Amino acid sequence: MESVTLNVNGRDFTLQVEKGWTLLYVLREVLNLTGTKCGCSTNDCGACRVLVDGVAKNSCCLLARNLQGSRIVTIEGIARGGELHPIQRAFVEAGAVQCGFCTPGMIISAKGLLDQNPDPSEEEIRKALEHNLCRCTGYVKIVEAVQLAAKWLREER
Amino acid sequence: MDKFENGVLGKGTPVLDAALKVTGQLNYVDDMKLPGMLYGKILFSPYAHARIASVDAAEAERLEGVHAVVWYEHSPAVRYNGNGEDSDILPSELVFDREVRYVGDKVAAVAAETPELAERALRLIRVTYEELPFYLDPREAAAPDACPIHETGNIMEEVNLSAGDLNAGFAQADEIFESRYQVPAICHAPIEPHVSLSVYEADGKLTVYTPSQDVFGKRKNLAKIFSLPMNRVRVISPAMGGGFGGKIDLVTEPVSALLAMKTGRPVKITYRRSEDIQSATTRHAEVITVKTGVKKSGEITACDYTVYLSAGAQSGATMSVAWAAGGKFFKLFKMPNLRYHAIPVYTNRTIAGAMRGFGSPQLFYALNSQFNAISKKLGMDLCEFEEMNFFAPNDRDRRGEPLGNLRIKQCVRRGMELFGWRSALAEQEASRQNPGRYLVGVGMAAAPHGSSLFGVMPDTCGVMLKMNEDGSVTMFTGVSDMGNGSNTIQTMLVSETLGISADRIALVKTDTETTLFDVGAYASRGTYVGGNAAVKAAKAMRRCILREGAELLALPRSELALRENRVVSRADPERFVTMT
Repeated sequence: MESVTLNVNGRDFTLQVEKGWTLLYVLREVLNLTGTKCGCSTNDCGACRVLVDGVAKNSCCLLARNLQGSRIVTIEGIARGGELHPIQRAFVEAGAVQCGFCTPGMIISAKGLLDQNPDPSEEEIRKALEHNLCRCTGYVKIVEAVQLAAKWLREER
Repeated sequence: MDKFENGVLGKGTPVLDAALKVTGQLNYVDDMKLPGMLYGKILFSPYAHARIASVDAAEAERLEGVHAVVWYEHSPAVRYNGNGEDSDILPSELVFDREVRYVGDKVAAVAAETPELAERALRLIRVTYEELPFYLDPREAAAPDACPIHETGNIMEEVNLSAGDLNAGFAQADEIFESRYQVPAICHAPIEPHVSLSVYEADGKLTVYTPSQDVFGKRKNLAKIFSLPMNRVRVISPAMGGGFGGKIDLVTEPVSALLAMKTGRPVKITYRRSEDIQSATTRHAEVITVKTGVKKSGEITACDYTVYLSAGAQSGATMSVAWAAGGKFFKLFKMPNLRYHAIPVYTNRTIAGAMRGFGSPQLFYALNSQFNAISKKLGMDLCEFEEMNFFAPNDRDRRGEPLGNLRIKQCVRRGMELFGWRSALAEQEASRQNPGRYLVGVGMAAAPHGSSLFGVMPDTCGVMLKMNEDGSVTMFTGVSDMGNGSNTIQTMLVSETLGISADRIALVKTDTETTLFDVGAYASRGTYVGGNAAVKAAKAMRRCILREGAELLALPRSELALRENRVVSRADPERFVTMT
């Protein structure tokens, strides 16, 4: 076991972690933040994406002990108080949610993109989502949701 | 025809639990933890076909934190068919068998306090195997001298369906085409892997949480396997991260249940992705031969279709897939002389189960592929060739079954318009003349599909509605929603019928103990059957509400409407009673 301090959704957690524990394992099994899903544990599906210092990454392939001092944002940290974040609202509105298992990872990728690029082209959106697999929707509605969210966020500025 | 006046239908509505899903708050089974819960892990066979000579689990059992190790010695002796619809057909599977039949077959399982401990324990189990001959190709497994994969032999039950006179049909043909097609097994690959969490309480009751398209089929099978009455088995599907047919059959459930019964503790088994691909179920791999006779005009005179279905290691949904595809073979093309011959065969591969279309995609891939080649040879447009051979509305098929208002011709014509078929063909030809980095290809295929199981078996679904003291409604439904909105549609229909807003309708769903029987998410029946059951329940409730409303408002029922959570006078909207 070694000690590591992570900032998760704005709160510091000092944790004792085993050498092989992934960030995904720590989030789900230690912190009980089960909104981040495990679809493959091989860096392929994107269901486990979280923001690490503002960048969307697959948490299944990051070792917790290497993340000392990192700022982690999970799907549980996206909403604004009790209100859905515009990206979440757009996913609901656009019909981009079916089974929902890929949705948290999709929203994290969208957040990572829109924080950096408020007015992305469709190509840039698809590029940002290329690490996220969805088996239900065919991606069309998901891309539309990100476009809608981008529009709402620009209008807020 | 019902009048819909509340405006709930006819516009897009997000799935009911969308807000929970976008915030990560919907609890899927792998998100659940129960007090004292253990983690189960399965040891899988490295051999395609072998007899287990010995299992030595002493070292694994001694590991601190390991609560149980189970293998064939601990397995109930009841053979089952893990597919609910086919549960009485050729039951072949044991929870753990002395013989393993594919790479990935279950050999043993461990329940331990952490997933890592369970993995470590697996590595300490010593198993010796005696290898047996194995078959990956159903034609080899079907050979008379093949080593039997099951005692009953490798060929399950052949299906022979025919109409007309095949020889006469081929005699009338100007040309005869014969082609072979092979289609591979396909993994369903929902993003949520298979998982189950079983609880066995001291009073002898087994509860299994599992993302499932068929909780009632799973209950029936689990009750049979563990010799429990149905009222001592409860199967609950709290949420499902995609199914596509793959979450119909039993996969991890019998193992987590056995471990829970052995340890007296809740046990969860979650497949990792590689396990999900290797040891769940697949679409059937098939080897198909199609022989078709045609006249120069394009008219088909005879079609002889032979398919070897690779069932994999266990019976599963194979017989239903063979029968279902056989039925559809007759329902699209008015070929006068035809035969469907299916040879379902056990092979040493992952168990084949239900997957969207139930054998149709393979069948119509082969037919349409061959018809494409035939039309080219005859110098005809594929769409025209198929149209010439399609049934018309209200025809009967060659076995006398009515086809109803079959509009396939219109579908293809509309498709041609939307697709820009003629210009696409021209584009294809231009690309062939001047090949660049990419070639342009154009294709068309037609296939029929049914909604519901009616005609094959009784298709039943029970929906209960309860109005609470405050006028809110609770719907009890056994309809499985794998993310496709089946429960959302039921809620919309109830809302429309009762004039009660969707936010005042709550769900209790897919729980064998609290909801009425439903056949399961098979055969594209969710909206058609589940939706109609919801409408019928809502209409019964509507009559009760109108009776009460009529009395309170002193108006005849015919003058009342249900809207916006009120019973309202149609003539005078200011005259109403509330349902809130």
